[in-house]
Amino acid sequence: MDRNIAPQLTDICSPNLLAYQTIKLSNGIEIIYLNDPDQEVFKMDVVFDSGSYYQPAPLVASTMLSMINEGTSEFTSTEIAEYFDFHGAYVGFSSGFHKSEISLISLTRYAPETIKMISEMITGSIFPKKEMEILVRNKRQQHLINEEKTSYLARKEFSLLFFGKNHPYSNYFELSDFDNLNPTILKNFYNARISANGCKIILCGNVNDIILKTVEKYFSNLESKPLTEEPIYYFESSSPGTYKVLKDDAVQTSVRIGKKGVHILDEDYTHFQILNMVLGGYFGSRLMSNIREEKGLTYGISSFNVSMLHSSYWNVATDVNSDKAELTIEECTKEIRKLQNEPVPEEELNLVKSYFNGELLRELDGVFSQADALKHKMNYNLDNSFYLKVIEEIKKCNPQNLRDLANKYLNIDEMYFITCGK
Amino acid sequence: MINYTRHVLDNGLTLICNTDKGTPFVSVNILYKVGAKNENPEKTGFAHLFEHLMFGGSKHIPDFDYHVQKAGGENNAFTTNDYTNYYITIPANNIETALWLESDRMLELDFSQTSLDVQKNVVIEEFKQRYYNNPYGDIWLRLRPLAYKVHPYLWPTIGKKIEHIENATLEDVKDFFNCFYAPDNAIISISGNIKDSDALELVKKWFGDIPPANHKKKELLQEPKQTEFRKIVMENNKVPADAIYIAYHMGSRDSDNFYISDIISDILSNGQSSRLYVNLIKNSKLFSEIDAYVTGDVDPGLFVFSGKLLEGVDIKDAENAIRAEIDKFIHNSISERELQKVINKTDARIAYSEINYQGKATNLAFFELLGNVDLINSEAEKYRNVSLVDIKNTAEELFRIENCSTLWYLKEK
Repeated sequence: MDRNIAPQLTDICSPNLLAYQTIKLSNGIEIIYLNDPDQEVFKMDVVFDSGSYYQPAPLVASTMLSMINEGTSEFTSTEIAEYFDFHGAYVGFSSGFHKSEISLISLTRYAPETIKMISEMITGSIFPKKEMEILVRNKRQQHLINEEKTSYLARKEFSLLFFGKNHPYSNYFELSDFDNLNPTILKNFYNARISANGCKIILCGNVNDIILKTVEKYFSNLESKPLTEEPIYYFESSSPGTYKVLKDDAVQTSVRIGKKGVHILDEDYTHFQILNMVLGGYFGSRLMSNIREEKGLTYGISSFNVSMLHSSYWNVATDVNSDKAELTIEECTKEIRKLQNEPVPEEELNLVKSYFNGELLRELDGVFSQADALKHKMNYNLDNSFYLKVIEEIKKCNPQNLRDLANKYLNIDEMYFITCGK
Repeated sequence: MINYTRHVLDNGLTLICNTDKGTPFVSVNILYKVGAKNENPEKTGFAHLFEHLMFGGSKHIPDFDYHVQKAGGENNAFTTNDYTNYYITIPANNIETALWLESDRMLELDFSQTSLDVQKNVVIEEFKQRYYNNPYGDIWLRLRPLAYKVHPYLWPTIGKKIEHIENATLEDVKDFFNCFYAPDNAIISISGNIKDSDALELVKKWFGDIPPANHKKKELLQEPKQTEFRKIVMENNKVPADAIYIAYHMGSRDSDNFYISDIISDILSNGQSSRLYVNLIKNSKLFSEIDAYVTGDVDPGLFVFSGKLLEGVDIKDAENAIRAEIDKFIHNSISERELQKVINKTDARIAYSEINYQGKATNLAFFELLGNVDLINSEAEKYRNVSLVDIKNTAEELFRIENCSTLWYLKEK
């Protein structure tokens, strides 16, 4: 054994894609499930077309969704909570731009009880005023805490500059929007958007027949309503350039650099992901090596590409000592220019390809991860076979592709440079 | 139920292995039995700084991360007051890469002044990011030395102050390595797609020839019983709401007291049907957040109440409300259903924790550190055995006012 010689590596295997089944209920609800009988747990996500795209005023979509946990004609919010706690189940709510979802994680042996309660909440929520006030008050306070964080403020500034405050993707709201929420507006939104039409239920883990029958029994009753078309919003971007958000008591400055990204359906998507990884998408990236490991300016720096249904953006994010923000931006710009002018060395590219393949395998490791990945891909009318194409694209990528993409997508003149600090 | 095998190599390295065929990966987890509590009180933050240096290259391998990434793996580490934990998750076929890397840095680190200087800066930025540039981030810097006067839990893993990190020298680094980074002070746990006999063979191959340190650790100073109520007020903080922390000394992680206290904290604050949530957030509208939890440290730890107040609430009223809940807890009865609820929740939590191979590897090493790896399968039983009488007696002993440290964190006026 010679410690100077690295052990032989084997090629990273392709992910083993699990087959999923679908069932359509009489009211139009689509059930997608991935069964792994070795688990003793299952997860259920109930997805509706009720994201912020459809809301009549800021904060309505997310507040309506959270209120589904706060009382039905039969159970008070505390009774609902006690019921799930007693069965050791967890319920989560996540509200997006287009879709929103209610998630349940539960032991399979308690499935009939926990699924029944979820359906009761979805069909019978009554939006009590008292519960709403508590929820809104606490959300408002959490927001005030976020407003003290430089990283939050910098991210917010980018969204505003890039999408414009009238577009739902900017997530823009004012403090007074909390005060304008009331049970009627929430209830109206609930009546308009919580419908069998457009509803998907994703089940994974130990999904036995009892679970399928229980879901069918309780969710077949959900009313199917005609949904209004998705509204059209326009992007109103400010001019690229340098922007500063003042927070004079901050110890560190948050830096955000951003611009339009690459959409998941774009043919350049995978190669741009590789380019982004080289720059700032993994621990060994150029930004991490330069800004953290060589200069010690930060605890962490990363770049990432986010795809949404109708847009995409790309960001670099980091927190640095206040007097180092300028140097950090300068170095980021240098690294980007280098990608535009010099080909990525083969060895570095191969390293990133291996890391990427490992990441894909991780993203699809086990039934719970595969269901999450599938749910996400379905938003774009894809399924997990998407990953097989990604793997092919990774193989094809060469240094010239990356240089072309760096010139095509990382144009410095199109970027917003945002700092938040003193 | 988690099946595992356990072996101790001749050089003192303990190996725990769990086979999980449900994943194409393995997690190689190495726990060193050294944490912030083993530091010199004048050189705190060292165990954590050292964790950063472990990625700066070892005797035969200049770039640790390169090889992990090349093999499709991922790695990370964390430091607590009790121990330092490293893990690599990697496609099972490439497990030897992980063992090669981990064994080489256990054998000998490449001590470099440049790496030390850079990582000092990185850790200082981490200090600022977590503790000073984060609303409420500096509370534990003050709460620890209020609750502990003697035991080294009185400083956080990041260190007492930034100066301690700035002052670290290469000599300190070498000393620390020689004392603590050796097979007889480490536990390696492996979970994932590998047979345990293969794992044993490979661990022997890569770690078998690393000499033990035979270092005798200094006895830790034990915290004397607290005999008077303690309180501090931190004023003028740039936060939107006042916060309150109330801490009581409790038992060690391996004591029965831990399981009972954990159940008490669950009854008080786990979930939206818990007492504090219902009474103090929903009904009396004093708090926007309230929590009761145990720190779970290896040595005797803390039972902590923490809450953020709603606007306009007087912090004295908020504190009195928590104390009233504590009194009710001690003097009024707890229903069987309330106890059953938290036990069910604990059962489910343990079941969920068995899904992920990486979590299993980390837990196996942690329970081995506690001295009884079988706790990974018997903890559920320990929780189930907690009775209403245990709860009442423990709560009475725990929540004595002379066992209490209270911190008020007030917003800018």
